[in-house]
Amino acid sequence: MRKLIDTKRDESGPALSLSARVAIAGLLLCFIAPATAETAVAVMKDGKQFFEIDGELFPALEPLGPPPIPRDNPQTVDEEGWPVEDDPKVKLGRLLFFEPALSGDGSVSCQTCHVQGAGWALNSAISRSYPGQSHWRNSQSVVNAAYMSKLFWDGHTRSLETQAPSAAQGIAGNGKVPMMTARLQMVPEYVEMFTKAFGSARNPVMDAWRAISAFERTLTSVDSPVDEYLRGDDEALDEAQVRGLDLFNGKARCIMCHNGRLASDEKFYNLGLPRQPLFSEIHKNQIGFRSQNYSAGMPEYVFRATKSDLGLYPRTHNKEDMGKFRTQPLRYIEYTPPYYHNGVMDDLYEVVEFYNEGGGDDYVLADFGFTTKTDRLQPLNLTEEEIEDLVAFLEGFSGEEILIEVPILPKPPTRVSIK
Amino acid sequence: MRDKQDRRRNVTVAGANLQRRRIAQGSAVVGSALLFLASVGAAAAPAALAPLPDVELPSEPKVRLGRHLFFDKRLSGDADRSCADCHVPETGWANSDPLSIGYPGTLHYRNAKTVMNARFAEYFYWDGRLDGGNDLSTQARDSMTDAHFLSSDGRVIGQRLKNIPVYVKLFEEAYGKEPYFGVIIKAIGDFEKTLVSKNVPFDNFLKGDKNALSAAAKQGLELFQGKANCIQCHDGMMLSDSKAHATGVPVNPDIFEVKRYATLRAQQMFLGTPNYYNLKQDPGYFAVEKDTKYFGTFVTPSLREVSKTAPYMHNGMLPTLEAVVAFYNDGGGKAKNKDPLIKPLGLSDAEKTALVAFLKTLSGDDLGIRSADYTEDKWPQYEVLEWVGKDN
Repeated sequence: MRKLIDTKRDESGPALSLSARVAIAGLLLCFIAPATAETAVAVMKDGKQFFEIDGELFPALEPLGPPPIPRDNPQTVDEEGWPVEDDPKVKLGRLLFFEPALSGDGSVSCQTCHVQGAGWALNSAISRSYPGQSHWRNSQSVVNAAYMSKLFWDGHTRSLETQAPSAAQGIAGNGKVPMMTARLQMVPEYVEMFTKAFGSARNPVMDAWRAISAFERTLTSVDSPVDEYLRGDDEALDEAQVRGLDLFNGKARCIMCHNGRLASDEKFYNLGLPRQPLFSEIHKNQIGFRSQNYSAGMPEYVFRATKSDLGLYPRTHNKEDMGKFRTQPLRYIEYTPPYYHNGVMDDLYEVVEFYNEGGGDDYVLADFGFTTKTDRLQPLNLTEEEIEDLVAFLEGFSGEEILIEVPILPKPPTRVSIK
Repeated sequence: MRDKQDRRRNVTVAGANLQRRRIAQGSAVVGSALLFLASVGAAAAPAALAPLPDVELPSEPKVRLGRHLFFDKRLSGDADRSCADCHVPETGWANSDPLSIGYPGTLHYRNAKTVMNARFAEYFYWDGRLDGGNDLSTQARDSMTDAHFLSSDGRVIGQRLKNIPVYVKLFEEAYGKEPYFGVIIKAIGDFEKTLVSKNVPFDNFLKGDKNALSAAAKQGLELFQGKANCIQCHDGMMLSDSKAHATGVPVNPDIFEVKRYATLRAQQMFLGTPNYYNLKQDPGYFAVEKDTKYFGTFVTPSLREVSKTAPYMHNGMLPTLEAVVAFYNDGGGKAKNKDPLIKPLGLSDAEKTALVAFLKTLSGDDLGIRSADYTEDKWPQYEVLEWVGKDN
């Protein structure tokens, strides 16, 4: 089957009118697969493609280009703008990503919760914390985090440079800046590398976050079949996946939130996700959950009543934000189950079936008597075949697995000599 | 200008001291010049040695709760250190290592002080960075949160204790509150207020029991106040002038072990110590005053319970009381700003023995609290809270 929706960037002519597209599709399909008809409604506006659902326009998916590099943390890029590995910051950041000195007790590093063999995330519902403590949310992949403008499930940091300390100094790492500073400065190789990358090793912790961010900007996955297809390779997706793409853009309504370059609008929604049962069963998870809520300083009645993650609310204290989480980007998802902020779903079938039912019961409603669930979710009436097509398409968002050699970390001397 | 050192005076009663301190601080702007003049003049006459006063103890539920918390490692970030790991009842509520341990992954660069009689201390820690005055909760707060001690987040610890029903009940009984950080440190402080020396031979002697000291100890007391001149710094009820002095104790080479030096550098960085990056020794009270005349000075420790708290000095460099007496008999060690009061004493062996005999009369009865009664298997246990549908 030919690709029905062309999103080549060099397309300059006017798009086929909507009715013509549907008509052509209908003609083609009625002989081959009478059960499937194109469902997506494509619209061109200002030279860009959108899909129309419920009278609203949503930007079409686009292939990923090089990630943005912040002006306050420059790094070396090639002629096309891709960060290169041969850069002093990246080399340092690669080591520091694995460096447990950047934690309270020297046992937790970035890769503790972002394991390369687990999609640079964790294959557990709830992430890890420092020993003696538990986290409260699912660990997200570092791959393509470089493109995000809102990090963490509640989007509370706006750059990789601020995400790293929030994790390392918070419930994940329990790191304190003076101690981490002293530890890094004890290692001659690090002093040399910080000096090369940043001009001095006087503020190694702040610079460590910069170096780690520079390294993370090299962890991009842009070779997925979906990306290749969006760049114009018609063979990159198979027929089922192409049907899935149409559902994604149309009947299944995915494009309403998973749109544009990132396949995420980076906005916040309550989907009515199920509660994570672990929180009812394991005291450590309860402690991790409640200490984060307590630390957020929410009103007492909310703190006491809430038994599931209120998402954006602990940040904004705005009741309308209860239970809302930032839309996840979709690339690399094959490697990063389980899914959602509480890791409550194990595979993409479960995810698609969840949406097919119009999402779930809103726990905000159960706990507080009002709902914040998005009305974008409604039963989709997808057939079994359509569900399979959609899952096949979603699987096309993952390219080659990104694996690097685990670096050997430089060690401090056993004793310090002060001149 | 506002020289903390000059505001120090000896304690007789903790409460009265606290009040006087407020007055001193309140009038610091007016009075500092005057006090400064006083401090550079001739050394003040030492305060007379005095027995510990009778004190009012917090209620039993508060003490019981604080005692449990004191031994509970779940108060630390990693749930792997308790107050009692460095303040071990069996070793005088101090640590028998020359240099203390620290949070997992860290090591300390100082000797752990005893918490016995801490309620009477004018300043806490070797560098005197915290005011004492019976404010034990503030010391507990710092030790719970400092990166090299328990490194915990008080908000997290409160939630941990809420998952331990026995503690929830104990907090309710003791304070009528749920566990939260403010009450946690209060309970620890309240327990520490009970750590007061009991039936101290020297105190009994001062109170009139002339047989409480042996003949040798009596001779030692005489030397203490006379030829050995210990009382010049170890005076008053706590046998401490609460002032910082340089004695020239040799640097403990172990502070240059990488984990210990990391702690030293991290803490001095945190305290804002000038040139913290290149320290060749522990700067001590200099970190508080930032005045070079205090470089390498440490607050005179109390001598109460001293026979139980070996090794000695801020860095544990002197293993025994005999070694301490020998050190002072030699006129202390080497330091540019060594206190001129410290000079060779010319004590005979018999006099040294007598002095040690006196020092041993400063320890009271064992309080009967045993670490073995508070091991992990005896802690109140975590339980799963009732969850969905509960306003708890």
